[in-house]
Amino acid sequence: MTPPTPATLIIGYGNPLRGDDGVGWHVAQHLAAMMPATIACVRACHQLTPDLAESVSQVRQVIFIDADAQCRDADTALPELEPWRVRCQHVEPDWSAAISGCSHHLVPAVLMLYAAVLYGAFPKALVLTVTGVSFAYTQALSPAVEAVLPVLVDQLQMLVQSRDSDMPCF
Amino acid sequence: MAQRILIDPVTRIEGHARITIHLDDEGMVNDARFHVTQFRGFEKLCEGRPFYEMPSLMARICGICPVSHLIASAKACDAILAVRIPATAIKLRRIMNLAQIVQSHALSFFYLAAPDLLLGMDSDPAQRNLAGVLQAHPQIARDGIRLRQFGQQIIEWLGGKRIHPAWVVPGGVNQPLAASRRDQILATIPEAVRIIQRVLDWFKCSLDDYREEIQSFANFPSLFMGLVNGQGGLEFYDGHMRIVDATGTIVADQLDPTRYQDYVEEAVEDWTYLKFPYYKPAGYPHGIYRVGPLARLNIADHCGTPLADQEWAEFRALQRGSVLSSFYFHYARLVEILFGIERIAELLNDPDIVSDHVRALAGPNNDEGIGVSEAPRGTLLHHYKIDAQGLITWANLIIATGHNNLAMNRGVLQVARRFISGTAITEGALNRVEAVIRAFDPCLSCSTHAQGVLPLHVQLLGSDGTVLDEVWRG
Repeated sequence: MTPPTPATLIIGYGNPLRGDDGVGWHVAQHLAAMMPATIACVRACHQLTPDLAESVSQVRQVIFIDADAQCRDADTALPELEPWRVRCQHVEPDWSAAISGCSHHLVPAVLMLYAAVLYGAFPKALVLTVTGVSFAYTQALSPAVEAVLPVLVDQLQMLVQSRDSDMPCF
Repeated sequence: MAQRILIDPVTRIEGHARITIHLDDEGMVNDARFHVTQFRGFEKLCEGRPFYEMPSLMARICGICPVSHLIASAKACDAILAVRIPATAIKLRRIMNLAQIVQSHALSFFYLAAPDLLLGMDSDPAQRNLAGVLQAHPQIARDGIRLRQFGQQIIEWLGGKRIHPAWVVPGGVNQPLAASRRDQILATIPEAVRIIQRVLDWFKCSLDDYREEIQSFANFPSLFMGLVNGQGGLEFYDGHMRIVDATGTIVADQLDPTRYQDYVEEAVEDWTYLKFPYYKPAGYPHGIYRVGPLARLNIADHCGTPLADQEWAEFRALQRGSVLSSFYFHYARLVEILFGIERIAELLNDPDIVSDHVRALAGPNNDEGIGVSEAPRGTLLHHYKIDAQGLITWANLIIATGHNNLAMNRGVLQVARRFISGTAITEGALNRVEAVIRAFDPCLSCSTHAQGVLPLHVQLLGSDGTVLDEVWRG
């Protein structure tokens, strides 16, 4: 018998051969090892691909974890760049992103759109980005991003396992 | 005044290229060239590396068809080891290669070509993209995603990851197939067959809509080359080389793929990084030949699986002799997807497929090895030489897209002559010049292909270099 689909899907993506670009992939690897499959389905991948759309359409909430090359500080009180800062944003399906996009670079808003148009449903979605320090050719995260990793994993676990799953930005 | 039209870059292909179209004093197309503007240099950068690293190293040539390079490279290394790899390992490699054929063909047909095929060559470029397909034809978009997922999932289940799996190694594969995994793959077969049959039915019914493109898309006599098996059937992993002409007559058969240098030579032109292989006995450039799905269906006597054989017979009935229009590459891709799915099922149902004996171990016993297989885009050759320490001293790769270089150039010229005159550059004409290249599905590298806002730049230049007209898209 097929097990029931969990309510939450976590997709951590990035290139683990390019330093901090792989932070989403690393977070997903950690979460996959500790998160019960009944609570959340965790996927670690190099990039978002259209075949993820069906899985996205089948859950109540999805959390995307990605690296960001820039510290986008519009929603923070700190004026200086803090490389370890984590930013989260709600995301909705977006046609304009689909039209201007590139097939080698699918963004969460377009994946949500694929879910909505092709499979008739899309969940609540949160994009969580970690500002990277180094995107050089290495499998290691920078010390600053490495330091934030356990905190991030803990917070995500609490967020997903809590009964209140409205996914507030933290 | 003589003029030149430049299309740079060519979009929705794998890699970087541009097209120039030369007009004569009357504004008629005089010549056209497909320039490949990137240089990879894998043959040089692998020199000095241990030969057993080659499969993993060479797979990095491409993110779309890494399995093809993995397999051709591993076969070249098998030859260096001088081993006969276990029968189960051959079957497992075949399954992965076919899964790769399915996923790559699905990518080409549904992601890259479908916007032209479904929305029209003359449609608004702002809509002529994957998002447009999604909106107008969601069922076909779902089918494309599912078929690509089918192939990619099998590659991941066998090799641990979808891109650049390290499972295929010199001497065989590094892990046997578990029975539970075999059953998991078999469970996905029926849906995949249903999908490709549905798509084939739709595409065959819509062929009348592309009459003009069928007539003008690299539709000319040429040779066709590829591997066939011992029964003359469709072959992707082993077998011998066969060459047929435009009438369907076999020109050469039972050719040893490892003696490719006896019948294939490469010419070089100073305006492109892509070489021009040609059939040696016919000389350059008369020895023009095509490889890939269209060629494979032209050279084979049958496919070898029940449903694909029916489709193959229908396909070959399109034309007496060989099917010549390169537009039919799209059609041939769909037939090969069906064959791939059926053949994967056959191989998985062999009880021997879960045998533990999947690798032959040896040290280097030859100082040279050649590996040949059929990649999604055609015949792929890897040729290595090593020194006494097993380090690579020389490598030569002939990649499928290279074989088609002469035909692609001639195809661009044919389309340009049909659709372009010096007085006006229409969007539909520009798109057709690119679309004939897309029909070949060239894999110039694993590079970006923009869609939606296309970074297309076309210039009309006077013979003195003056810009007479300019069109930007994007």
